[in-house]
Amino acid sequence: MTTADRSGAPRALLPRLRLWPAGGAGTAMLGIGLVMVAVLLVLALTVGLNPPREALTGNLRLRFRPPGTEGYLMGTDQLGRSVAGRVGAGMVWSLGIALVAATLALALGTVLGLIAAWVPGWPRRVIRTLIDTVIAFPSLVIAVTVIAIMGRGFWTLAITLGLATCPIAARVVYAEAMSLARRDYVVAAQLAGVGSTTILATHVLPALRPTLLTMFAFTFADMLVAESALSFLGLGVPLTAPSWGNMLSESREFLVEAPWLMLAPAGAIVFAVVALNLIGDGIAARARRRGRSAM
Amino acid sequence: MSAAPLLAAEGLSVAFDTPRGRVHALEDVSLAVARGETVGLVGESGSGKSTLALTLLRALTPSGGSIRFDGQEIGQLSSRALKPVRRRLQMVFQDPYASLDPRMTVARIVAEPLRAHRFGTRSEIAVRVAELLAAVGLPEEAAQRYPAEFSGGQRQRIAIARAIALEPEMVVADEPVSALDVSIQAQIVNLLQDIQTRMGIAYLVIAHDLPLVHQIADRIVVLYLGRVVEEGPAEAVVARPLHPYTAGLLAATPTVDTAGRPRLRLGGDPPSPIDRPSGCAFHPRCPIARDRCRSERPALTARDGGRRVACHFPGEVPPPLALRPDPV
Repeated sequence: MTTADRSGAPRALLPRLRLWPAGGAGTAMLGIGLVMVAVLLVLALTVGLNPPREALTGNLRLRFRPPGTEGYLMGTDQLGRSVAGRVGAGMVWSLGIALVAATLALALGTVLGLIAAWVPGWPRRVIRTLIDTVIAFPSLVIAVTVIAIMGRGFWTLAITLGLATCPIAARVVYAEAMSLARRDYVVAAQLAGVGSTTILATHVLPALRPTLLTMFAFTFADMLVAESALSFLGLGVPLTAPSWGNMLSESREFLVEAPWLMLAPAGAIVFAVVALNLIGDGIAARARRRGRSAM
Repeated sequence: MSAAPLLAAEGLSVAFDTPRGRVHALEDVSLAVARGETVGLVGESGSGKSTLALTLLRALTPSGGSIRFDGQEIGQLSSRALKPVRRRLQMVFQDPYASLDPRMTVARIVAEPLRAHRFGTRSEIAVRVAELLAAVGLPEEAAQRYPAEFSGGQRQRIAIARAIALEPEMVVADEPVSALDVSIQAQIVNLLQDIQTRMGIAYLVIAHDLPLVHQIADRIVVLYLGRVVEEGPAEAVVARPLHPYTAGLLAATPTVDTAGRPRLRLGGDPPSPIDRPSGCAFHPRCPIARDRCRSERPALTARDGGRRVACHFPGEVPPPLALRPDPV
């Protein structure tokens, strides 16, 4: 950018912060992100699905033990339950809900986006209006309303978050599919007599893959934060469930006496969100680089 | 022109609605291509050449007029009903970098029309793909590679292999060589002619380069701002253009023997099809325009030797000297 920037705003006063080197950064980010997710996955499948007894039933004689107490890596909470055990058990709730919600949002968003892009006339108009309407409301507000009516629970929360988020995915898919529909190779396929479904499967979906993967990582992270936020507000999972948001919510009262009650679930959320963002950025950076060299 | 043309468009119109108004990309275009014939379609960018190609192939639906392919009206057919026609009418695109899916192997690209029309079993298709690659001068091992591994000329060969896969009766080629290096252009032109000799395909070749069209076409159709302004046998049109626009296009081409002469060219740009000039659409740029041209649109009228021209004063401009050197 030159000094003759007509927008008037002094844009480049601060140099842009670059945490990663320009070349090959995508692969590094993707690798680190995948390792972090693998760690989460192993923990979720071992500790998460099979939480230790100390995580669920408390021992009132062992309340507020600090991290490092023998047998309690991250200390204990106000009821004497193992914080480490609860963070592990919370994975199933927090990561599980985020996984279901992100999958639903992307699957539904892709279907809606492709229909809107491929079927002109009323289907496109209806879907576009629907997308714009739902996006006009903050998704958290939608989720709060639905949960207030439907009640808490794993599936209610996951499906509500997924439905509230799918318009964003639909809009991204719609925009990309519209530009793909005009590519010569898609027109060539149409002129060769290839049917729409086959064109979508062989030309459009493969071209959308990097976008969908990137979007999945970011949406997953968003859903994780949204689940925690709703649980923190008391509108998420059942109060007794050890989700990360619930743990954060409960830790408020003991912030000064027992800060580890807050730090443990917060750290878990940050770890997972960073991991997913690294994967998303990594895929995007690699796709960009491939796009430049291949074309 | 022989008895029944393979492809015949009559009174074809295409209009698009844009935020700035209705654009008449094509107006009252008539055109015929006989079996085995090569028709060249020339005109500047924006003259509607590509729109005409996409409409004849029914990637676009005309807003008026008729398109007949081998006697069958296809102008308003649904995509399902068009499928048998697609098998017989194929296209080669201008940009071989955009017309091949970068994620598919060459074998899949060439096999795409074969699969769509249930050509045969997997192994029959593989045999056919190998034949096609050989026919366009590509090595057999090209099949398992990706378009990115090939040069522009080789990519255009792949695109041609795809276009002739189903042995069509006609191929529309939209600027088939203009994206290629000059040294490669001749090879692709030769390949197209070679295929025509072997398979008897009719071509509609779109180009902005009159000499190229002259070299390969039997007849030339000149398009200006969505209308046919001149049509006739290639030799006659190039030797003695009747429309001043055709003369201008010829003059715009540098040739060896005109070196030393003043460079003559068409001044200005084609006007916007949204805001079409009154009378003859060419009059603002025409060196011989008179009052009549500003008020009255010339009809496309038949002349001797199978020629047609839309000009009030046809043949008045002998090429290329009579064009004013630098119109204001």
